[in-house]
Amino acid sequence: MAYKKIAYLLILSAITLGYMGCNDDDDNNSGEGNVELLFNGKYGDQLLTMFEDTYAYEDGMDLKFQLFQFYISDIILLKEDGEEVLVKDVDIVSFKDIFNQADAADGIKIALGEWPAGNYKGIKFGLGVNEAMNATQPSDYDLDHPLTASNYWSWASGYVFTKIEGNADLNNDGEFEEKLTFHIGRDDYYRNVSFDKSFSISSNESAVIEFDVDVQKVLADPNSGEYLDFRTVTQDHTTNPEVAGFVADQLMEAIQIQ
Amino acid sequence: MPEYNPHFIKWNDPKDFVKMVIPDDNPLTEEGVALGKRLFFDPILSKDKSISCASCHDPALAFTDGQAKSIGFKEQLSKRSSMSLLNVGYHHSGFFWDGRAKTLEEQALEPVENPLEMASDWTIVEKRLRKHKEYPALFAKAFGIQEANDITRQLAAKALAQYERTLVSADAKFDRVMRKEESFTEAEQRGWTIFFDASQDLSDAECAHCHIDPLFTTLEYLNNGLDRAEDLETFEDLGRGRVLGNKYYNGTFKVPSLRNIALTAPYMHDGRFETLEEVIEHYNSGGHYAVNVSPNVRKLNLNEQNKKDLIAFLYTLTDYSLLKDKN
Repeated sequence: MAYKKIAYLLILSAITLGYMGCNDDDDNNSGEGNVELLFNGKYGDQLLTMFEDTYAYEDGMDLKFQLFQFYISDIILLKEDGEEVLVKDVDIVSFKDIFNQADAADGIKIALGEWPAGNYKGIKFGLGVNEAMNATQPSDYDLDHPLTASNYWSWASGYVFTKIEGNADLNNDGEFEEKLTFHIGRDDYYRNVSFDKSFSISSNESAVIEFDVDVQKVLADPNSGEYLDFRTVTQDHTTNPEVAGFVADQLMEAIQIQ
Repeated sequence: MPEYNPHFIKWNDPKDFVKMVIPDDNPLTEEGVALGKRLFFDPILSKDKSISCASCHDPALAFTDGQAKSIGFKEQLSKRSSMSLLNVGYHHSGFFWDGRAKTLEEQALEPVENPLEMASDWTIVEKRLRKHKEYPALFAKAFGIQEANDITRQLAAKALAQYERTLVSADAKFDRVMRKEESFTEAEQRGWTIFFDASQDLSDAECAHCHIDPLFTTLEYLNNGLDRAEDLETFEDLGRGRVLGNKYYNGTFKVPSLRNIALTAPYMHDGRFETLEEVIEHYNSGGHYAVNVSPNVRKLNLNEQNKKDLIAFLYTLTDYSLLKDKN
């Protein structure tokens, strides 16, 4: 697998260097500024916590969450002049350690490093990992890399793009006995999202690009009224295309730039 | 003192293993590993010189001891079951069932002074090692000390950690099948499928969520539903929660590796299950209720054939290559 990683990194480096090479000539701005993404976990209007809070779901069901995470990859900043700057290959947005309102209010930060100062008109990234990256395996990377064994299906040679785990109380007795595990991966369920948003990166300053991620929308589509009915479906390991496709598509809808 | 001329070991990770993280201040050397091995099997570390590391981490039992709770100084029972040391060099989320030691070097210091285990005192152990006929020279070769009084607990822990990093298990039948050197039997193949949920034609035992290869553990801290808990404060053993001071981790423990699981009975942090059959029955039942039980622990509906096949697969995780590693 190592050759795949090397090939992938070479392509990534070539694209990045190409973009960076163009930037300096075209911009009035000079220097670099720090860029980070901020993801606020939400359930509708509420902040998203693991274990702590109870959330009202469809048809009288209540929910508690234990894990909500998803990979973002091929993160590209869109310059006003049309250039694209590939700023990171992959990272994971995980709300696993958000246990209270204060932590939830802080959100999840994804550091992107220093990038050329200038005016930008948007950002795009993948949800999950692209086919080439999905063909790598955890041993291709260092221990602290986001593509870890705990999110890898060795038998299916691919990563789990999105995990939603929690519990449902179906009969409102206060015990959240119904166990929910939705693990979505495989190339078919890789998605791309793009957001229009004007922002600037200024030399020696930090730019934060902020998103809300509404997990309620991942589970229930407010437009169509469709939702995952936990009275009949409590898990999917990307074996039911209807469920896997629903979650993958709804995650795209659930992420809104602020 | 002998000359300090360490022979550095060029470490090769087994296929599919993530790179082992070896601290810059404790590189593997032949001399350091040899010293660590000597200390590991030497009861000199315990108060009455009756217990060595190997007493609770016997190579023949995949570096466990066959006890529900380890037997320490004066036949006292320790708080939890002995964990296998195989592949601990690849563990990065902490050591002990509750992860309270961040590094192997830190871990190696604790049992010596635990009153239920070796019940000794490092100051005493240091004196014994300094006065010993052979240890000063071994420490000199391993770490370049100038005189016997330079022997410290930190150097002893470094040597123990070096030896433990060499305890690698990656040559079980499972590994040989993955390397296409051998084949599973039909029962083992079905067990593999059930373990990994690799086909919709067979039941799913949900094992691989927490026991992913090649280590057969995610190294996470989880509640696997051993005890019913009306609220999160009522666990008899708070496990990881006590270390973190976070109630949502109460009753969670480090997911153990399933490598060599056929040799490491009894099972769980408190050794409550004597056989693999009992373990599978526990998971088949879906476990007991607590608000923080992993949702991957759920009622399975495995039939008797599924259970036999699963156990057949688990037996393929036994690696016999390291089981005779005596001093």
